[in-house]
Amino acid sequence: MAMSNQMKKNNKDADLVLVRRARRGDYRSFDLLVLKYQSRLIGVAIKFVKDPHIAEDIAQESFIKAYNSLQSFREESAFFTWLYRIAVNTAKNYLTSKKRKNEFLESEVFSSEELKNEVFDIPGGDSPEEILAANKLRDTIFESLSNLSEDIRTAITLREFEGLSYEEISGVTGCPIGTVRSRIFRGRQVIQEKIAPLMQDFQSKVTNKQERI
Amino acid sequence: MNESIKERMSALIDGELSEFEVRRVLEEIESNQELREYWTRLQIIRAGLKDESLNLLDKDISVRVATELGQASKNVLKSNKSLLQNKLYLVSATAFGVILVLFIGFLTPFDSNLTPEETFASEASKKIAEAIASPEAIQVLDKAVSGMKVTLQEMNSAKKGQIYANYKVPSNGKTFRVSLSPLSMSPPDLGNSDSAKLAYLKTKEGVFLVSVSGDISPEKKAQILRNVNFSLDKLK
Repeated sequence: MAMSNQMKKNNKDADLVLVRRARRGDYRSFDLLVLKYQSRLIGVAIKFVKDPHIAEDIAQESFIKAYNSLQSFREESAFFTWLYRIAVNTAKNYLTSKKRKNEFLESEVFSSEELKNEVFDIPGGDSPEEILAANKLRDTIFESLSNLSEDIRTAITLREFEGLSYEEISGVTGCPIGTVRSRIFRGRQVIQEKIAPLMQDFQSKVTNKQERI
Repeated sequence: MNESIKERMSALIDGELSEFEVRRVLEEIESNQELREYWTRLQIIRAGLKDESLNLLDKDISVRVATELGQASKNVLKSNKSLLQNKLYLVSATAFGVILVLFIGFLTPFDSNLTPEETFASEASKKIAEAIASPEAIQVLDKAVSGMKVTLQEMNSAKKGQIYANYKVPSNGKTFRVSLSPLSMSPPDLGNSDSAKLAYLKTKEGVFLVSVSGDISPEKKAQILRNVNFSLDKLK
């Protein structure tokens, strides 16, 4: 439990470096947070609206609201928790307005017929192809981790699974902080090289699936 | 790619960089698409290890978010947009060139014989060509189809000065057209059942109608027009 809280604390702190800079007007920091959380936020929105295009719109609007409200983020929770709440509210607002809009659309001349024939291009992101590709990606990540040298694997494990800071890992392993930082980087670098080709495979599977629809 | 910057990025996702180092890293990432992708892969590794979802990895709305937040002119977008912008500049320049030649051809031998309608059409063509050749208008077109996996096939001009940009959706072969017309002309294809609602684009060259037609859903047409982000209210 204590370790879990430690992990949450460290993850929260990792985002705060970027959040605080973004709050001071450095958009580059916020851009990295968008890159970090966009898939998860679209995933949150998709649970509400089903249509991936609309989910992207909701995620986009959520990021915009978050950026414009950064001053009100009190750092009492993790940044993503705060972002998640914004996305849920945005999705709920969309559903409410859509309900109203649908009542209006019924009276429009050319919309109703076309709406009957509407087929959305991309389904919700949990197709067999995507699940398989995601599983393969995850398997590769873990296989790469298990093939790392023991000192590197230990550093990554303590960081990712136990949530220890570099200083704490340094204390546990008896290595300088610089060495810890270097080992974690080298481990991630090896894993990153292994998953790079899978990323292309993953995307092509998604594309193939879209073409069949 | 420099290993040092990658190591610092690795430390950044752990929140283990000094303020000074963060600033340096951000400066290096902002105009480097490869580093942005590296940052994304670091997040995927972390998500994979933590048993978080690995779906929807092909989605990237970062440019759309930045554009909406008025960061379009910042370097953060340059790396993502440079290729498309170059293409659009080329198409725009070509369209402008063709229209300019036609315009000069109209004016030179028959200048005094032009009907008021022909004169207006020629002038409108020139103004639209100038408008779409501007970086702002290219941003508008780019933005109009942002988030949609579409390919710009061609950009043409019509007799009365409209500009048509034809797009294709590679995943299903469907095509659609974004049209720009001077506001004082009759809107194109309004009688056509494929025609969507309209948006208005205000440039320093005047106000133009933006319409979307073709073999795509009303939602997608509305999305394109919404992306254009100009409304009648803004023109008042």
